[in-house]
This record gives sequence, structure tokens and C-alpha cells, in this order.
Amino acid sequence: MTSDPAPSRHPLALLDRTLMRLYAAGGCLAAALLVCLALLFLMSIIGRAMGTYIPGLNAYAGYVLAGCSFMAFAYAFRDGAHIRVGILITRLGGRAEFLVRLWCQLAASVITCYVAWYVVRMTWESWLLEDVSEEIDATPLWIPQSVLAVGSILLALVVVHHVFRLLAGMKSDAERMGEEA
Amino acid sequence: MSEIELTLFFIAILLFFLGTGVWVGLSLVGVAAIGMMMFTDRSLDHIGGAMATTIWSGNSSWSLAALPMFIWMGEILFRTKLSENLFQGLTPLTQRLPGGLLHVNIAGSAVFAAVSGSSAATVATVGKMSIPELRRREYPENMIIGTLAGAGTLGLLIPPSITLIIYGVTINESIPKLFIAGIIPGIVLALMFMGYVAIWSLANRGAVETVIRKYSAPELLRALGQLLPVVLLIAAVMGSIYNGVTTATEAAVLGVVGALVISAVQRSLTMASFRDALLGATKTSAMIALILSGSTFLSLAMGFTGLPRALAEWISGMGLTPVALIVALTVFYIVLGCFLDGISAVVLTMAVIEPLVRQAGFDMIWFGIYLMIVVEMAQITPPIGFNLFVLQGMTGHDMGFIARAALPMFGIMVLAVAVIYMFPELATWLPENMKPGP
Repeated sequence: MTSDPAPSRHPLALLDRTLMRLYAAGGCLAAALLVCLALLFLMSIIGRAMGTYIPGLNAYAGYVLAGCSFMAFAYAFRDGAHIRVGILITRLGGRAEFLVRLWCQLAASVITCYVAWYVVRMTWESWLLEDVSEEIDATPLWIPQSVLAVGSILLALVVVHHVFRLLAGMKSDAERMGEEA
Repeated sequence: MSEIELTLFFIAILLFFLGTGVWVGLSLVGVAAIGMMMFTDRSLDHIGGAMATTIWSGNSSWSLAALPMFIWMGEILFRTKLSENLFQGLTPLTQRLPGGLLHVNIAGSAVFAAVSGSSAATVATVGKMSIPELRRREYPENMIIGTLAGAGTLGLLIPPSITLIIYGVTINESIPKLFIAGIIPGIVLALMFMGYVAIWSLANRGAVETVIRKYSAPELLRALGQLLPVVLLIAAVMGSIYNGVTTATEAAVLGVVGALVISAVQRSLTMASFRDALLGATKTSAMIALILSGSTFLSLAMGFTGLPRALAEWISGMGLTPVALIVALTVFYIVLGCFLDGISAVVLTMAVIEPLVRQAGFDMIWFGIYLMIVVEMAQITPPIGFNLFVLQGMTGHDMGFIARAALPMFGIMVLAVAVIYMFPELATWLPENMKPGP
């Protein structure tokens, strides 16, 4: 994250910082879900050692996993952890580089908004139709799906946010190539 | 447009998205949607609905949970004193071999690979200690870097392996079996690397110092004892998979607990290191989940287009011998690997390659191991090679120098592909003799 020496009090700068913290909050929630996931599997190991079977554990693990991934998408984007091919961008410079970056950012905006729209609609339909899991847990699907809906909205938000950061000439960690992964 | 023109146009769009630098996972989503529009009469609205359900079911499969767990385990271990332990413990074992402590790079990578699923993490962890130590002893720089770049790729082959999990999930093969299948080829490849170092050192006498440190018996025990934590961890994780006690994911959770215990015993476990490891694992897992989301949707789209089947029929119609097919695929993956990372290369191609390979009659477990070696080669070829990036960051050398230093290792890996082609039992024997999981 690029922090200015003296934080600007301009409303837009304030919005920018708030959003950046929002993505980090999503990341922290995802981290908490990762810990939950580990605990779920520990329960399953201990349960089997003691000869008891805990029904639906695998289904819950799946929901927690999906939630963990989606809540972390925006956070990972903010920190430049998502992989991209950097051959062209790192060799260009000046105006051409800016235009290619802008294209990438706009294409990503369209795609993430498209994904967010349909994940939200799927969650909405699961709620309307009262869809439940086909496995033994019989969880109403809109509950785990709404975590994905929030995560995909956050992802669309961070990508569109970075279009404006790019246009404003701000340096972002998101521009890294994900090459340390 | 005819079918072929349409296909070429589709591939051109894919290459355009990837080549201009649109994030890989998002590129796959976008291109899959475009592909479905081009090849079927579905509306964008209809496609969006199919996309959402595919992404949901693809991401909520519990078998994928092994990924974040193994990544987390590696992140914790990276922040312990494990790299020191490996160096101290392997020094008395390797110093008398021709090539001396260069073998620490290889053996250390092989050992760390058995608790880490990523080759970049393997290079970073082993190199953290061995690069300064080997430099102090004036080993030739190109050998230090070359052996590390090459041996680091064992991270993908020796279980647990992130890329192997992704391969298994993509084609619906047993992850425990794939893991166990990687053990012997991994050891064989490590021995081949060590053989190269030995031959090199015999051919270049005087290139490495021959000072041999004398160990008293208690010193020797203390040095070897440093290997104990990692050996126990490997035994717990791999042993429980091989004996069918746990699933791969549960073994990974045991690995996380074990890594936390090691970290606590060595007093490297602090609030800060725990948080850094957890957040690092969260980010890396999210990166992989985004690529997987894109690839499951792309696989669905490819199924609708009928491209994979057409290609498989076209290739089998050419009447290639299995050898020719493997050679062609090897060249294909090395070229692809020049531009894409290993995970992207696997998920992007499996939808098309899987039917082709099945039709040719290859064992899919064996093919997974083959694929790991080929994808590993891509990790040490410029311009995109993750191991090269890591070493660039660690040593400050330019990409060209590092790539040249790694070139002999690349040659050895080509040889390794030939070896497992001629002796497929290297990969298939262990999995056929393991106990089924719970």
C-alpha cells in the first residue's frame, strides 16, 4: 500500500484509504476462515480416532474454503498477489505502458463486474427458491453463497478502484506481477 | 467463419488477454465467456448463470482444502530455523562427496520439498542459508545458483505438491496416489542432480575447496539431530497418507500443527510470524483459487465447443507413436512454460490434453508425474521462471546469468523425462501398493 508521508484530508483520498482498509478487512476475515478450516479437519481427525463420525463436515469445509478464497480475492489483488504475464508491461514504458495497463484494468473491471453480478444473482435465486445442499448437511445454499457474493463484489470494487488509481497516476502494489508467489 | 478459423480466432483472443497482462484467472473467465458466445447460441445472460454455478461448485469442493493447508504449512516453516537446521545437519553427510557442500543445495531441497508444496518456497528456504555459506567457502557462483535453481524444482515433484493437487482435482484423480507416485521419481531426479555435481567436480578438480571439517561424536550427533524435526514432520504427513490413516487434506492439517509445534519449540513462533504466515497463505491460496475458478469455467466452455474432442481425434488420427506424442507434449509445455507459470499451464491445458492422453492409453497417475517434471523445467527457463525470479531477488544476478547457470539442470530434467518414460514403474509401483485412504 502506498502511504503518503502526510495523509491527505481530501475526501477522495479518504475514500481511497477506507476502501484499501476494507479489502484488508476481507483478507483478515478470510484468514480467520482458514483457521476455521484447519479446526474443522482437526475435528474430523480426532472424531475418527475416537470412532465417531461427524456428518456434513466435508460440506461445511467446502463452504468455509469457498468463503475463504472469495473474501481474500480483493485483498490479494490489492497486494499484487494475483499472477499475470508481465512480459509486455515490463518491457514497455511511458504512454504505451500506461495504455496497456489501462486495457488490462478495464478488461478486468468488465470481467469482475460480470462475475459479481451473476454470483449475486445465483445467491438471490438460491434464497428465492430455498435451495438446500444435496449433501447430508442440507444447508440453505444462500448462506454460504452470500459470502461469495460479498467477496465477488469486493473484487469488482478493488479492480474498478484501481482504474481510478491508475488514471490518477497513483502507484499501486496491485501492479506487481505476482512473481514472488 | 469455418470451425477451424473460429478455433484459431478463439486461441488468438486467449493469447491476447494473457499476453497483454490481464490477470490469468480473470483472463480465463473472460475468454471462456467469449468462447461460449462464439461456439454456442447462448446469450451472455445464460452464460453468466452457468458461470456462477460452475464457480460455486468448483470453489466449494472440500478436496481443494489441501491447497491452503499445505501452503500455510510452508509459510510457517519458512519462518522457522529450518533452513539453518538443514544446512548444519546435511554438512557432515555431504562434505566428503565429490562436489562437497554443493550437495547440500540438492539434498536440502529434496528434504524441504517433502514438507513444502512450492518450488519457489523451496528455493527461497534452502537458499537463505546455503547461498551465503557456500559463497563464504568460495564455491563457483554458477554452480551454487544452478544447483539451487534445479533442485528447487523438486518442490513440485516430491509430495506435497501444490501443482500436483491442482492436477489431481482438475482430472479427478486420487491426490494421495499422485503424492505417493511422486516420491521415487523425486528421489531419482535428486540423485541425478547429485550425480551431475559429482561428475562436474571430478572433471574440474580444484574448483571447490576440500577442507573437511572433523566432527567429534557428540558434535556429529548434535548436527544430525538438527534434521530430526523435519524428518519427523515428513514421516507424520507422508506416513499418514501412505498408510491410509488420513486424507491428503487431513495430513496437511497435521502438517500445519506440526509446523506450529516446530516453530514454537525453536522460539520462532511469535504473534507477528503467525500473522504473516497466515496472511501470506491466505493471499497465495486466493491467487490459486482465482486461477482455478477461471479454469473450471473455461473447461465447461471448452466442453460446449467440442474442441478438446476434435483435437484428440485429430491427434490420434495422425497415428503418432506414444514416444512421438510425449516428445511433442514436452516441447509444447516447455514453450508454454516460457510464458506461463506451472499452475496456469496445467489448468489451461488439461481440458484439451486430458482426453488426448487418455485416448493414447497413458496412465493418468504416471502422466501427472511426467507433467510435473516438464512443468518444473518451465520454472527454470526464461523469460518467465519463478525459480529464476526468486534467485534473482536473492543473489542480485541478472536473469541471463541465472538461466545459464541453470541450463545443465534443464538438460538433466530432459534426461529424467526419458528415464520415467522408459521405466514407468518408478512412478506407478508405490501408488499401486499403498493402503486405501479413509
